[in-house]
Amino acid sequence: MPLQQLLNRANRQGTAISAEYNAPANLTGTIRLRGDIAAADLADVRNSLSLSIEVFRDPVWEVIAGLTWVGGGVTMPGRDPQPFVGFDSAEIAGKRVRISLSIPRTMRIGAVVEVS
Amino acid sequence: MSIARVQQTGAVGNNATSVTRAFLSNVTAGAMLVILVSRWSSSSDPFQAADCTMSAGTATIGAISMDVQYNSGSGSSWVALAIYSCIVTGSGSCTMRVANGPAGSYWLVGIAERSGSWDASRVEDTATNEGDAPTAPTTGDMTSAGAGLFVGIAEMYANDSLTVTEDGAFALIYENESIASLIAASIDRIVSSGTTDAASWSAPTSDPDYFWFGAVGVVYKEAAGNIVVTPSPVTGKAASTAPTVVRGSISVAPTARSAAASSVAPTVVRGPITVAPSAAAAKGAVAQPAVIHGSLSLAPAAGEARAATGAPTVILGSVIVAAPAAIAAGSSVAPTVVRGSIEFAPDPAAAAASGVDPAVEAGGDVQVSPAAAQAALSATPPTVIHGSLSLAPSAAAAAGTVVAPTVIRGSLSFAPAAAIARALGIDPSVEAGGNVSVQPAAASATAAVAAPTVVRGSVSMTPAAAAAIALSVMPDVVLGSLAVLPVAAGARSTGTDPGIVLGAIAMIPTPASVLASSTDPTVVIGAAPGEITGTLELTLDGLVLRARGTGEIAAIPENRTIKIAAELRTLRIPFEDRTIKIPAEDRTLRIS
Repeated sequence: MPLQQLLNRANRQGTAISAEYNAPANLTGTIRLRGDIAAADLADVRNSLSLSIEVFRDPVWEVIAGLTWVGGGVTMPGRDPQPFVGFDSAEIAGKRVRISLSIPRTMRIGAVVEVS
Repeated sequence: MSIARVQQTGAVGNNATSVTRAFLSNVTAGAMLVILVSRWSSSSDPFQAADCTMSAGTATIGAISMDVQYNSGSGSSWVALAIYSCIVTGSGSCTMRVANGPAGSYWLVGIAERSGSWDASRVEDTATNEGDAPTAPTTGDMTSAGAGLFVGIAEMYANDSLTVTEDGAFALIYENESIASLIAASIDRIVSSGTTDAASWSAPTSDPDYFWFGAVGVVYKEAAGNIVVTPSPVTGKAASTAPTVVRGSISVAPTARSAAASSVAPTVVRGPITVAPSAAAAKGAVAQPAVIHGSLSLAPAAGEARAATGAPTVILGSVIVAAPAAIAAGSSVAPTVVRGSIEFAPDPAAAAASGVDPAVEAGGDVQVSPAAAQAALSATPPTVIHGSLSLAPSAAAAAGTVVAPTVIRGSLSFAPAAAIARALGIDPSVEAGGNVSVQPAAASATAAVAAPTVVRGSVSMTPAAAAAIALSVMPDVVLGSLAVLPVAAGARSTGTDPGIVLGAIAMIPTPASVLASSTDPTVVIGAAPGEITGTLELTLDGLVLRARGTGEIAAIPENRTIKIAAELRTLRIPFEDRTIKIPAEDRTLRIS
């Protein structure tokens, strides 16, 4: 499934909540919800990020997965360098999900969902 | 309670210093949570116990333990693996977090909830492994003694996506096969009996993109469970408990007025067993498993307790048989091996045919102490006792009391205090570690005999009754001292006739009438063969003493003294180069 930009890349600081992704009921494969950080900011060791995947369980949004990221790390060869969390997409099939970002220092960042 | 899968999930995390993952539904108190983690980083950073925490949720959990970890790599490519576990103490939502990775780390986290009976000693085995392609990923063999949960996680280092296929006996917890993230897989297997197996994967051995794996595994065992059988009606009959294996304790406690034929007969019990019918009439209570790893308590408290039997093949703990009923008959403990202590104390008015008859009693003590008014035929003839043995019937009439084990490694105490103690016998083949004490204090003690084959400690025989007749101490070998001290008014036929005594001998009859007291060892030896380090002494203190000292002494060193204060009939000294002087004033034989 093609990428869906849930939050446009822009200079951000503080808390940012992405748009919702309405997962189809027949969703299969692995879903990846990731930050979309500009290359210069990825390499900056002063940057950090807390990224949470939230699913709507009426009436609240609940965190089901997440990560913390610190800039400037040596990434794994051949892998996506963007910080993301991936899991079985069937877990959220038919549900509404979103990405919550906590950004201590201003950087250019967005949020993307990908299913494969 | 058997082990079962409840839920499992997982996540991958790219370029992250920590990853959190929530269980899909509430976790339940009593369940075990297993967190399996694989991480790639550009620097070496082995997992620590504190790296795994519960980061959110309404559940409560016990201490998280890091059950296995592995760290391997070189240069700017390192792999760390770990398996954590904890027990849910309060049901609710639960999110786990694994943190403290270096910047730029790539993760795979599998989380699983498994029901069962878990405790802090749940880890039974672990394994770690690594290897190069084309070796199939595997933890290496792990072993469970019984039912258990095998878990494992492996990271496969590759240049492209892989197809990862787990061992058919295992089920998937969480995996990632895509090159977009860390390629790793976590799996588990539930077994119902003792098993040796490895968490392994049959693929991707032939994939040219695969070139290295690291893997760790843990075997979890369940905690001991318990069985309680408590029939409480007025009439409880034939209550039986006979599972093949019990990991916990067994308690059979019929409290009805009439409890008959209660039996406990599993093949193996890993905890203690208690059989305690308290009814007015308890009959035929039996505890007869093949192996008990804990203790056995058989304590019918009824007014009438009969035929209470504890006869397992092996007891690794202690045995207690304590029937305090008015009538305790036919109570017996006859296991083949008891590694703990045995306490056998029926104290009803009539304790008859009380028997302790294990083949081997290996670790503790044996105590037989019927205190009833009439204790008859109390027998303790185990084959081997590694601890001490105490036999103390204090009833008014104690007859036919016999202690005849083959080997006692501790001490042996035999002290009937009844008014009439007859035919008291101590006849072990070997008493190897402590002492033998025979002290009948009754008014009439007849035919008290201590005749072990070998006594490695001392022998003390002190009948104090008004009439002590035919008391004899005739072991083949006594490695310690030997004392025969009858002080009764009439002590007759007191004999000390061991084959070999390595220590001292003292025989001091002091009553008014002492007849035919003799000390007639074949050899008296000191610390080294052929020497005397102790003193052989016969002291006349009564009216009559017909003593014979016949010392067949192989070698007597200089500056040693044999003091014989009685009439000397025969003394053979085979060394002709010795000079023998016998001063007339004290009839002391001096070697110079």
